[in-house]
Amino acid sequence: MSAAKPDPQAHDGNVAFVVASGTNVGSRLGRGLARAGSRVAVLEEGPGGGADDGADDGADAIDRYPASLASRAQVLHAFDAAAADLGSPQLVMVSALPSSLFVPTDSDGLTANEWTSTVHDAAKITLYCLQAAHSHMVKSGGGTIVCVGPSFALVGAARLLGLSTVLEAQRVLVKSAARQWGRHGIRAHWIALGVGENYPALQEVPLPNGPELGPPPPPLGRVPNFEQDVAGIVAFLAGSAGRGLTGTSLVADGGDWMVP
Amino acid sequence: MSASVHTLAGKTALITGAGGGIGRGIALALVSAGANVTVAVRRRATGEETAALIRAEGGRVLVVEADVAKQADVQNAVARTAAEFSGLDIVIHNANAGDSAHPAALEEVTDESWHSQARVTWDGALWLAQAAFAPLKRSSAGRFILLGSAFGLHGAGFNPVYAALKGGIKGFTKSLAREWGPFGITVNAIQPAAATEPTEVFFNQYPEVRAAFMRNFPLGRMGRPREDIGGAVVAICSDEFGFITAQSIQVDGGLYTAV
Repeated sequence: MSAAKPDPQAHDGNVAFVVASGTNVGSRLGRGLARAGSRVAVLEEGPGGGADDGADDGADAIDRYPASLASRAQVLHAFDAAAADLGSPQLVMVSALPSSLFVPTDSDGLTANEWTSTVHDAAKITLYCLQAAHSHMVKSGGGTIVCVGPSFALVGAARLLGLSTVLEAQRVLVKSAARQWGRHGIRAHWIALGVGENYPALQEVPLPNGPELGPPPPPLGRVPNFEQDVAGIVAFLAGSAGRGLTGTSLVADGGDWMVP
Repeated sequence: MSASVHTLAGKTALITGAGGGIGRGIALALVSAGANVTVAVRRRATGEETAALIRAEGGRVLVVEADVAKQADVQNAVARTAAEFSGLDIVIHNANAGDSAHPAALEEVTDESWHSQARVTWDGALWLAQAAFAPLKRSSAGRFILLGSAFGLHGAGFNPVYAALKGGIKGFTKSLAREWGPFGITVNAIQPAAATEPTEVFFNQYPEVRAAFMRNFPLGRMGRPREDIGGAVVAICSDEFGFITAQSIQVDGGLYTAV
């Protein structure tokens, strides 16, 4: 893969924090943002958290921080540690969902503990990340926050009740952040990313394909990915061209659903 | 469609949070349409007030004390309803946490404030779905309706936790509808904008806000809990709406048109 030219659109040299969980999500987003000109801190939870995935393209512009996302204090601590090295972020990306949310389960089979320990906790991770981003951005004059989740949430899927619930809540938390913090120069967005290879845990799940007759792929012929497509969209949102946008939900699914 | 037409004769409905406001309005509308109603409330006294209004109109009603945040309470409410009326056809999750109407800064939201609302809005929805699944499958036209909010669509500068939880209800609705479709059960959410006691208190304090807000309604007013919100719920529960599922339906006089 050849490195793309840095985007000159006011993102060069900015600090981006990527809060991630899942296989190499942080690395893929981090590399994409690094190529767009950002200095990137990947705050990663779970096995391999803080570890490189071996690809070195753009990796020299990424600093890695293992992080716990279990409480507001721990998330803020991770942000503070990264900011101590790189400075406060102008961009915060969040793609952090517990793997247990991706396990298809009949709704009547969910236990109380599974529900609270996955659905509530997952929603609070978004809340904590928004709050940590706010604490830095409000002092540094603003910035952009972008959350990313699988696009099926826009249409729902059987046996993924918890994940659907969390993602739609996340989308609205972002909108509320945009409403409350716009006066501080903080913008917030949500990106719905097509499943494809982006979410391996969902590849065997019978998700709704799309409203059109016939099988996939989507109109663009491929499912957008974290590294090239999402990073590019985020660089646009965080750059000067995106200064008039906040509270948006962007759908990067290659054209499957074209939501109203 | 008038709720006085007995479109729901012989059906049984359970509604949470029906001790006042929108919930009471929906309960009365369902009774007018011929349904038996269980009023599930946290405080029996408010449920009995609603029940008295229902009985005065000749309706059949059961009052069950239930904290929807408690799974056992919800299971009990469903079981008692099915036993009392020999089945259950319609379930409506209307209950809200008391602090959902309080303003909050997103950066100051605590775990406690999240959970105090989520236990009612989200946990209550799941406990209801789990408890009602078996009787709704046995119904010839099961209906599961959740009360959302326009804040769950456009976000809120006022109470971001309330908005997020109601947004989550939209996702819950779509996925549960896909899961339950094969069993003939429809799952929908409504986003009401209704004048209730709390909104009247608020607008009496801030009359200038009322005037500005009303200008946002193409129909020039907020909804009436019984006639407008309850009427829409009756429609969704009717056979004529049996092919509509997985939808979040605005019942708001045209307030939010950005969908």
